[in-house]
Amino acid sequence: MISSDATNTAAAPGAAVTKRLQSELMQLMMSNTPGVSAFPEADNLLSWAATIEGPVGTVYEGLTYKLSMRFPMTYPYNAPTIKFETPMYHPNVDTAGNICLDILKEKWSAVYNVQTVLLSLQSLLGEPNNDSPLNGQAADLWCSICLFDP
Amino acid sequence: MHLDRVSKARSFTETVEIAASYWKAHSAFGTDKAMFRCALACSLPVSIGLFAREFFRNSAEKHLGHPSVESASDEAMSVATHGEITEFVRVCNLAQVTGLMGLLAETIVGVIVSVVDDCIQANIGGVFDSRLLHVHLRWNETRIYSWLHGVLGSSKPVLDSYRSQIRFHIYTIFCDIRVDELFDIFVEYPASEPALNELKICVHKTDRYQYLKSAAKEIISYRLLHLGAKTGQIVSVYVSAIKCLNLLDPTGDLLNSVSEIIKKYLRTRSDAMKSVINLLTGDSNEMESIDIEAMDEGVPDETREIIIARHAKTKVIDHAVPADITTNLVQIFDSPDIFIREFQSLLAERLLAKIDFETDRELKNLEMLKKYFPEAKLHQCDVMLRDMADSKRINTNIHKTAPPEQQPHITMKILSRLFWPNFNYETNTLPACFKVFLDSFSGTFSQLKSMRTLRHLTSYGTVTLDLELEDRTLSFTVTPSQASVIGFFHEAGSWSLPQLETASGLNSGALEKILLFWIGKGVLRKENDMYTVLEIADENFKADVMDLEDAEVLEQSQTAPSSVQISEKMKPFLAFISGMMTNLGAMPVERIHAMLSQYALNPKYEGPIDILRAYLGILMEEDVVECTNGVYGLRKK
Repeated sequence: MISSDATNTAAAPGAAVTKRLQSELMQLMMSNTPGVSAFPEADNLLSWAATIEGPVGTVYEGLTYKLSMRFPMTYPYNAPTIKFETPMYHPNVDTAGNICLDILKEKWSAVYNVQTVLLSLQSLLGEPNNDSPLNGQAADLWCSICLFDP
Repeated sequence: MHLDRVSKARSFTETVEIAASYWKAHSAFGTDKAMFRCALACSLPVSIGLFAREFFRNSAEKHLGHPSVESASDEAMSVATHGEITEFVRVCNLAQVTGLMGLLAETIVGVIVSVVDDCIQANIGGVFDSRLLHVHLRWNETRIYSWLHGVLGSSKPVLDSYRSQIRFHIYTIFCDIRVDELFDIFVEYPASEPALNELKICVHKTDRYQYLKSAAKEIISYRLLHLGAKTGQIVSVYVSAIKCLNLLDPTGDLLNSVSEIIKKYLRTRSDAMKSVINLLTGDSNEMESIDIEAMDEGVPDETREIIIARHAKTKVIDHAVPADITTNLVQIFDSPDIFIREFQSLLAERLLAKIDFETDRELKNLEMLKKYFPEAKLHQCDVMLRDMADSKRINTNIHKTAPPEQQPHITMKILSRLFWPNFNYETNTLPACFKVFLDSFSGTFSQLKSMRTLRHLTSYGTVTLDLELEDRTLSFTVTPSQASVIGFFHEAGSWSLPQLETASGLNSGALEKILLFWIGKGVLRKENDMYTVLEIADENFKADVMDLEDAEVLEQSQTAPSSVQISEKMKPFLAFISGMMTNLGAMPVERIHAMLSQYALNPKYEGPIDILRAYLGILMEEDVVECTNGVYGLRKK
């Protein structure tokens, strides 16, 4: 509901959310965090494209993943909707790219921002939460990989 | 007891022996006869099957292994298997009497079909350049038919039904194998034309057009449209696929469905346009035009039947006219404008690289394109070619009119600025020894054509120069900037880098590379930050050290003059530019400009778009960014 609201009113998003996202973009651009990156899509500040590089030392090393981020009008008080656009084989990501991560759901807090969310997602790649998998097959496979891990 | 032996008998001859003796002994009793039939029915198919398989293997080897000797071995069958045939006929008679003939024949036909399977697979797999279908069909019509006739002695309708059964089977097998090999057939076209023709017949006979269509699509997307294939390869396979598919299905329906997926995929490749234009205007050009003509020949009768039959079935009314190759290639891109723009820039590149003024080939390409695009859209290209012709005339004229002492030792291409792509105007100054040529040329030009002035593009073209040093004369063909740098040494024997920078107007990076080039050629020497001409050759000089630099210098001099100020000014926005390219992919400069204006607020982006374009040029030099078809993207590492 929220995200569809957001796209409808995309032409003139509320001043607060615009300001917040503007400053987040600025911060993200200036900090130049390695491995994660994001940018608003064509003149809609509520819809961003993001890129995560697979963390070194994980099976995702050397791979680049595209994500889409949709910010609700109530951002930052509600979490953005984030999806993997690149096909992703991971215990906490389903085949449609939906992500199961607590800070994007019930544990969301207004102190998180684009950068921290992307970093959390990046670390999720290396350390999946196998207790609540969205992709059971990947979770099983992950456990068997762990058996071989020294 | 005989029955036991019959059911246990393993070999064919054994079965016949037992059966014959049993038949003789018990022919009088009806019940026994029935039991015997049962036993024979159980064991015959197995042993007959083994026998017949062996027999047809031999026959296939003889008749299909070497199709050329077929006619010579007319009696091969009877000679090779004379003894066995007698046996066979005996058991067949037996079966005839006992009324088991139908069963026997079924078995034999089944065996024949499986042998045919094996030998077709062994014979035709991977062989596309000869016609094989008729050999196999003839084998069926003559050998197998006469053999069945001789052995089974069945009535003609029965034999005919067997024959058509086997014939249908041959078509099916051919069809299956060729469809599996479709990709290789495309790649090897035109050598694979016989195979294609046979496939067409088989598809028609077995009515498997839909199967062919879906298989072709699957094969193309599986084998061709993946990251491992170069765009150039995809385009060239596409071209041969167009030819093949038009041959297979002159209605164009098959081609349309396949080209749809290829086109869709090619649009995602940034260099697709370039590959297509290269193909259209490149070496394959002659082959192309022949094929286009060949395709306009009209539809042969046989295929027309297929078209009509299929259309009746699917009730497709609109008769899609089969499109030729160029149309198909041009259609890859949504708008012809992009294609024409790209063609124009490639044409400009090619014309500028020419040393003479010959434009025959370019003219031919242009005429070809005019068949597909409205002429008005290609107007600019027309002007470009006419510029070349005019330049030739003007050059001759100037060289004639100029007094001998003022003879300009250059030929210039005089371009109509508005009709050519944008050029980078060099800001550097030329040494006096070159300027004199340019000035005398311009002088004569303005005498000939008043009201028109020349603006020199000093970074394009080539310079042939002889350097006369104290002990040697060296000849070079170099880029204009390399030539102009060495020209300054004509005025003074030694220069320092800052001095040269002020004199030439080139930036220090580019200048240093050019100086390295000349050091590499053994013309200059660097001593205490001063560059001096080596009037006397250095014995210890190693000629090959700097070879690597050469290429770089050439590359360098083609791109825009870089400027430190632009870099400084645009530095804060680099993160934004790379951020948007990382996440949104490659984009044209206008879009980058718009995005920066919208999102880069602190410091505020306000630079004119030209500065941004120049900055992207610098980033290209630094290998950060690459540009294809006017869209800029990050260079992949």
